Amino acid sequence: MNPLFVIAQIVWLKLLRRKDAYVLVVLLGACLTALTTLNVFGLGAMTGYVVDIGLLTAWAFAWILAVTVTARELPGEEAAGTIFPLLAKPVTRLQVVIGKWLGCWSVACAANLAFYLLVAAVAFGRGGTLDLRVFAQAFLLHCTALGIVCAVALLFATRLHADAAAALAFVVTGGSFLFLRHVPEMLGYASPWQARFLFVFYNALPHFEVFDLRRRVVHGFGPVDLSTLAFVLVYGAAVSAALICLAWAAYRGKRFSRGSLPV
Amino acid sequence: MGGLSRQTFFQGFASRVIVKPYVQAAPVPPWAAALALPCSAFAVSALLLVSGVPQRISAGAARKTAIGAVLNVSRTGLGLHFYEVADLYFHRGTDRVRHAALRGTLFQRLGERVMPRVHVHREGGEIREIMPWLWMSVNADPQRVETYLVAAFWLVHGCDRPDLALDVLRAAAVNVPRHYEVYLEMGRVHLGMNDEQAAARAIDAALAVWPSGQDPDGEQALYGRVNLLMLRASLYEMEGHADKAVRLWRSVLDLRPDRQGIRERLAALTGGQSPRVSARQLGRALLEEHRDAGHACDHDCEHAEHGRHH
Repeated sequence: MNPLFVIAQIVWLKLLRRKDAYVLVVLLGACLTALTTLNVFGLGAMTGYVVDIGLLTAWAFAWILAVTVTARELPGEEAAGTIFPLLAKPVTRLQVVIGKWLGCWSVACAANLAFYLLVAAVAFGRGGTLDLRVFAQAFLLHCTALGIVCAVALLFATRLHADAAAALAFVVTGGSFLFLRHVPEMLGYASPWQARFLFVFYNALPHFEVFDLRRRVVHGFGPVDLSTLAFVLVYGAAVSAALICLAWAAYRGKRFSRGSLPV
Repeated sequence: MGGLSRQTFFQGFASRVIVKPYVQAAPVPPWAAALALPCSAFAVSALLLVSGVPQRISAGAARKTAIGAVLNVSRTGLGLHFYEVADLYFHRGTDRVRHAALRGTLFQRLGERVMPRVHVHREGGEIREIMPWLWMSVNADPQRVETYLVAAFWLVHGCDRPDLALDVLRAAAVNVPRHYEVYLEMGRVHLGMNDEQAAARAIDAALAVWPSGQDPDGEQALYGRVNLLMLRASLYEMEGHADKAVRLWRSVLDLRPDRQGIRERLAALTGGQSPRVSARQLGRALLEEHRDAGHACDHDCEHAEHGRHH
C-alpha cells in the first residue's frame, strides 16, 4: 500500500479510539433537536433557521475537529517517540507530512459529512425542502476549506507544541474567516501603514468566505455555475498545496530529541 | 546523538519563547481558547453596537453591578443581531451595501459569484422564515419595542395571523409597559379584524401613554400622535360620536395644517353633511397606508444606486 495511505490510516485509527467526532455529532444532534422544539410565535414548523444554525454549527464543529486533530498529530508522534520508527521506514518526510494532512483532512471530511447528513435529515424530517445540488456543492466547498484549515494547523504543528499549534491555527483561520472579508471596508478608515498591513493580510491569508455556500442553501438560490465552482476548488487546492509545501520545508530539516516537546 | 540534541534557532525560539510559557501559563485547552476568541469579539462588537443607547445599558438592576451591565449589553447586542438576521432573511440573504475602499478584487468578484447580491424580498408564505429570528430577538432583548412591532406587522400582513400578532403585542405590553406604539399597533390589528370596540380601547390606551418617553415635539412622536388621533377620530365616527370626532380632527389639523382632505372632512362634519369617504373606508385607507409604509424598504436607496432591485 502507498505509504501516504498507511500514514492516513493511522490517523483514522487514532481518531476512532478517541471520542471527539462522536461527541461533536451528538452535540450537533442535541442542538438541532433543541431548535426543532422551539415554538415560534405559535406558527408551527419552519426549517430555514434550523438549516442555517445547523450549518453554522457544522462549520464550527468541523473547524474545531480539523484543527485539534491535525495540530496534535506530529507533536504527538514526537512526544511518544513513534516518529523514530516511522522515519526509519522507507518514507520521506514529505510523505509523512502529506500522509498526516490526508488522514486529518479525510477525518474532518467524514465528520463533516455526518454533520451535513444530520442537518439534511432534520430539515426533511420537519417537512422542509433543500436543493440537493446546492447542498452537495456547499459540502464540497466546505471540505475544500477544511483542507486549508488542516494545512494551516499542520504547518504550525511542524515546529510547535500541539496546544500552541492549535491555538495559533484557530487564531489564523478564525481571523481569516471572520475579518478578511471586511478588510475592503476597513481600509477606508485605516492609516497608511495600517492599510499596507491590511492589504498584505488580505492577499496573503486564505479567503474562507468564497467556500461558504450556506446562504445559497438557506435562501434558495440555485447552484453555483461550474466554472466558478471549479475556480474555487482550484484556489482551495492551490492554497492547501502551498501550505503543505511550507510545512514540508519547516519539517524537512527538523532534528528530534526524545521528549523535547511534551504533549 | 549529538545531532539530535542540537536545535535550530527557530526550534529553540519556538520551544523556549512560545511553547514553554504557553504550557506553563495556559492550562486552557485550545478549543476553549477558540471559543473564547469569537465570544470576546462578540462582546466587544455588542458593546460598540449599543453605544448609541446608553440609557438602556445603565437601566434598572444592570446598573448596580459590572457583570449585570455586561450581560445587559450582551442581551441588547444579541437582540439587535437577531433583528439584523431577520432583515437579512427578508432580503433573501443580501445584506446592506457597505462602502468599501477597495473594489473589484478577485476575492470580492468571486464572493459575488458564489453569493450574488440581488435585492429581492421574501413574499407570501416565505415571510414565515423571518419569524424565528424575530422570536429570538424578542427573547434575547424583551425591551426592544421595534421587534415586537415588526413581528406583529408581518404576522398580520405576511402570515395572515392577526390572532398571533395580538399575542405578540400583549407580550410587548407586559415587557414594555406604557409604550403608545404597542397599543397603536394593537388598535390597528383589532380594526383589521373589524373589532372596533377593542380598537378604540387600544387607541385610547395609546393616547393615554403618549409620548412614552419620546420627545413630544419630535418628528416620530408627532407622527405617532397624528396616526392615533386620525384612527380614533375615524372610530368615533363609526360609533356615531361626530362631535368627539370633530374635536380630534381639529387636533390633527393643529399638528398637520397642510392636510386638505381632513379640512374638507371637518367642514362636512361641522356642516352636518356626510363626508365623501365613509369612516369605515377611511379606517381601511389608514390601515392600507400603514401596510404600504411597512413594506417600504430602507435598502431601496442603497440598491437603487446599483440598479439591481427586483
